[in-house]
Amino acid sequence: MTVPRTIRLREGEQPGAPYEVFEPGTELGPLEFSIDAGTADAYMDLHGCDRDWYLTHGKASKMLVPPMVLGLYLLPILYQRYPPLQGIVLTRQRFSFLQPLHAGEPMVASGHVIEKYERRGRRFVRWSATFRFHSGDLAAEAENTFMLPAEHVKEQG
Amino acid sequence: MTSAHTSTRAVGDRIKGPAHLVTQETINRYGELNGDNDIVHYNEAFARAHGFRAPIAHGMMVLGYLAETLRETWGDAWLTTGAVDVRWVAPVFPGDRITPGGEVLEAENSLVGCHVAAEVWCDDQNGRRVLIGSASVTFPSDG
Repeated sequence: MTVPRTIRLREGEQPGAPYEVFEPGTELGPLEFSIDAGTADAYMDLHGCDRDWYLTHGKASKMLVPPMVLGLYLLPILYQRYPPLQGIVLTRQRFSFLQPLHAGEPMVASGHVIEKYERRGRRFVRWSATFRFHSGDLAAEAENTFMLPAEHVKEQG
Repeated sequence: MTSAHTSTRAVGDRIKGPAHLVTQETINRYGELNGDNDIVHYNEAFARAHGFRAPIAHGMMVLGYLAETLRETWGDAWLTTGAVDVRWVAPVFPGDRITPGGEVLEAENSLVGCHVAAEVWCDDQNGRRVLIGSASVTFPSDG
C-alpha cells in the first residue's frame, strides 16, 4: 500500500516548476499506487466519516474507502513531472467516481496538462487525471485547476 | 451493495452536513496525510506574503467535508455515479467552522435510473461561502 508522501515531491525540497515550463498536452504519469489503509483510516477520522457504513458496504476482505481519498493521490501525478512551488493554491476541482475504491487495490493514475492561462494578472494551470484499476477499468476521473504564486513571493520559503 | 438512501433526491430537497471545526492541528494532520509541505498552510508570515491573514486550510480537506456529506446523503450510489465540480472561492483559516450544504435542482428519471443534480456549497460560521459548485448522482432504476 502507498502512503501519499512517499510518492509526492514536496514543496521546498527541490526547485519548483514555474508557470513558463507548463506545456499544454504534456502527458502525466503513469503513477502506480494502492490506497493505504492507515491513510484512509486517518482520513476518515479527520473527516468524521461513518466507519460502520464503510465496513458494512465493502468487500469482505478489503476496506472500502471514501472516494475523496483519491484527493490525497491526485497532486503526485502532476508533481512527478512538475515539482511544486511553495504557495500553489487550488481553485477548482472536478471528480467523477465510477467504481467503489478499496484499500490495497492496485491502481494506475495518468493525466495531461489541458491549458495554462493568465487572468487578472494571475496564472493558472488546468490539468486532468484518470484513475484505473490494473484491469484497465476506469475507477475515477478528475480535473484540477490551480493558481501559481505571484512572481514576487514564489521564491520565498 | 444496495441503494438504501431514497431521500434527498427531489427538486428542492436540502442537503446539510455537520459542522467541522478547522484548526491548525487539523490542517497539519491533513498535510501529514497528503505529504504536503506547502508552507502557505503552516507559516503565518508566508501566508501573509500571499495576501492571506493566516495559514490557509487545504482545499481538498474542505472538499472532503462536502464529499462525505454527499455520501451520507446519497448512499452507495455516490461511490459509483457521484460527480462533483467545485470552486474554492474564499480561504479557510484556523478557527473557521465549515458546514457543507446544498439543494437539489434537477431530478430526471430515465431507463438507467434517476439522475439527481444539486447545487452544493460549504459555508463558514459567518455564512460566508468558501466553496461553491455542483454535484450529481444517478440512482439505479428499481426495475
